[in-house]
Amino acid sequence: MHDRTLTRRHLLAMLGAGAGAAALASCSLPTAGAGSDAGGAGSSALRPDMKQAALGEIPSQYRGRTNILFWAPWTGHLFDVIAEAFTMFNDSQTDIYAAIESVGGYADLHTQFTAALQAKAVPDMVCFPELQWLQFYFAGALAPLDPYFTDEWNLDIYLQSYVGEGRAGDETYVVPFARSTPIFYYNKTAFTELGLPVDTTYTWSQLRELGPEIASLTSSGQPVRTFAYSAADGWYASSWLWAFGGAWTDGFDVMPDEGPVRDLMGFARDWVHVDGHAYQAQAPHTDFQTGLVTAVHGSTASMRGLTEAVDFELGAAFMPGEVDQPPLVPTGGSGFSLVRTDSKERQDATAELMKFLGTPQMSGWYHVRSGYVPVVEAARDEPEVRELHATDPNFTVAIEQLANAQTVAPALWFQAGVQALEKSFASLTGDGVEVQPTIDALRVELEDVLEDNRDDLEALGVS
Amino acid sequence: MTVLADRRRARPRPPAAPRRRSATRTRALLREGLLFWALILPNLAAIVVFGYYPTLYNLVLSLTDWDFVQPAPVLVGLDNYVELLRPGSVLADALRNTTVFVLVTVLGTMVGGLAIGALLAQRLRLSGVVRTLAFAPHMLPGAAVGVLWLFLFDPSYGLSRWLFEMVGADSPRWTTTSDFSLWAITIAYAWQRLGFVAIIYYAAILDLPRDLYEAAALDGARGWSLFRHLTIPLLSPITFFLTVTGVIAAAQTFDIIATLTNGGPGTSSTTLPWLVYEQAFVSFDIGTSAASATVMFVLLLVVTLVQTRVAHRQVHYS
Repeated sequence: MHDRTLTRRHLLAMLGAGAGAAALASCSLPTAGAGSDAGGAGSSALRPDMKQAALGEIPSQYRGRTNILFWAPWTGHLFDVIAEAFTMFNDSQTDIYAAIESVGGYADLHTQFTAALQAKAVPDMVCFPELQWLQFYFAGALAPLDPYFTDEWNLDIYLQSYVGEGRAGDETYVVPFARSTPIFYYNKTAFTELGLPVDTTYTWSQLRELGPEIASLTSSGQPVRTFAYSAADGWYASSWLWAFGGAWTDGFDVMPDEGPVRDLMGFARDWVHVDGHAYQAQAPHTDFQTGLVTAVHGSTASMRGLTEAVDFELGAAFMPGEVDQPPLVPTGGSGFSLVRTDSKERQDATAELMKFLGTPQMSGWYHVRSGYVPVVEAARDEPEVRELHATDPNFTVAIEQLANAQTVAPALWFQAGVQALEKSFASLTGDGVEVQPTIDALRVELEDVLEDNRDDLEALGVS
Repeated sequence: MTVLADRRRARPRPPAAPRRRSATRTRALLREGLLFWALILPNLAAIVVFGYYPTLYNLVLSLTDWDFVQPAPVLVGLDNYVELLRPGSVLADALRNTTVFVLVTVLGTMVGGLAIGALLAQRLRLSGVVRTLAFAPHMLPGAAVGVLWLFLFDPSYGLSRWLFEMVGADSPRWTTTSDFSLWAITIAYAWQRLGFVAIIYYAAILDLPRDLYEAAALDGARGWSLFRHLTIPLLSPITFFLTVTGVIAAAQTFDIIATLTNGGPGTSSTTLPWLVYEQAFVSFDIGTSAASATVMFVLLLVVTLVQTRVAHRQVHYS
């Protein structure tokens, strides 16, 4: 008769067997679902395997309608504003209930939507920044919007600088919504007190020359600095290099002319580590508000918050130029995309929501409350918008700079490329590292990004 | 289950048990077995589902190229490991940073925790308050500790500026320069864990057998000699426990890095878990991330095995 006593050896053997079974199970990797081809022309807008993610409780006054879900990449004030817009939509009609949930920021949305695709439980509408939607387009997760366009709602009503970024394969996958550009903010009160030029467009060299005068002021017992870099300046770095007359990539060619890159990087490093009038801040806007530094850059979407936060007169100007004055600025912010799900009814309802938010009234309303660009051309004529621009010219500066907005280089369409750029500048302004090795390392990383995505980029016409 | 088996072996065999008693014993064994399985199966299932399965699935993912979005990963064999192990790879930086971080935080908290625990055990005035204060940081979430230290380290308006100004120096830029960023996360993490180690040592010291100390005192042992030759050896099981859990916890630290330095500047404060996160959720390079996670798993396994081997020789349980 066998000894049936359970020993540690027996238990470990069983755990080993269980692990083997788990290994076999894990070999069954996720497989392509129905209609998982890229969302190019001719593919169905529906994916029967993609169900709606959990909605939460529906308020009693909205029950019995077609329910749609939006995952918002905003928190705090910006989420409150968009949530109010959704309430206005829900109250404006009786057929659709649009639920909104905050998932955090853009990076959180990226992660959560990725997980949702694997779980096949997705929202009906998403809002990705710049060109990050492309990854999901190639995964067949997004539906084209063109079939929903009408005489009143189509691409012609939007600011054209933002329209091209939402198209692939002759179809539209994103309509602009919370779009922005970087802008230069400065302490107008301090500049005026020192007799420095205000209401103008600066060059980086000019700002650097102002350093000693600005340092004559003190805040918290320290000389005030001219400008604050951060460790996450990847978006702004496109404008910097355009100002210095260069480009990060030209098609698949990385830094085709190293000269301007060398000038830019040398300038940033020396401003911090030779002059000492610029520095890498932990939180540049906090330092700006508390008077430790007189100038920062930020999104136009920061204008409303900064205006209310500072206790001095806020100045806003075009991004500084150098060789090119004023320079091009990168487009930023996000737009709405329709998710390929199992329900045509919900997709139709989602398009109705996009139409509502794309009216001049709502675009103007959102611009005034958020600071994002009024993406609908006609929104500038809304009385509320006119009044704002008449009383606060900073908002007008943001609108006028739109003429210089341009899409960033393809290597920066991907988070890995942006991160490589950020790390390079963080090392220059933080550690004062040598310029040439920084350029060489960055070149390798950007080339890797382009190579990893070569097929997708070529499909989009990048050459 | 070892105890169960030992008890079986220890039980004297009956000389010639009648058939009826044998059946009773079988039923008792059956009942005991059923109870055993009823108690252990839920835990076993949880370990398999949440421990073994993800580990093995991660191993499979490390052999693929996947961005999390494409419907299916593509098998690439050992390419991810080859890429990770090539000279100049970021893995080398992450390994070096992790080693420094783990060694300094574990050794620092063990030495500091033992000292504080021993002082608390003296039952001096206000030791209750000190005990509570020492343990409090351990109750805070890592993210809160990170944010707190972000303010303390701020060279413009933080405590750091004040302290360095007292000696006529400028505060280092703790989180924005490579020379200090690793030390910033090390200090913040050590501060959080120190109280936990101190309280464990304190409780263990109170539990040490008094008669041994009395005997040692009769033999003339005093002060440091008593502490060195009696207290420290008697605490070796606790030291072993704190070392193993300390190494594993430190090697997995993420939240403090996320709030203080984001692994930068460059890779100066990038540790293995941060590297795994960046590769997975910033670069969306799941295969490489899974390969880094596997490397981390193997390293932790080896370190723990070595610690266990050493413990067999150095730890005294009685």
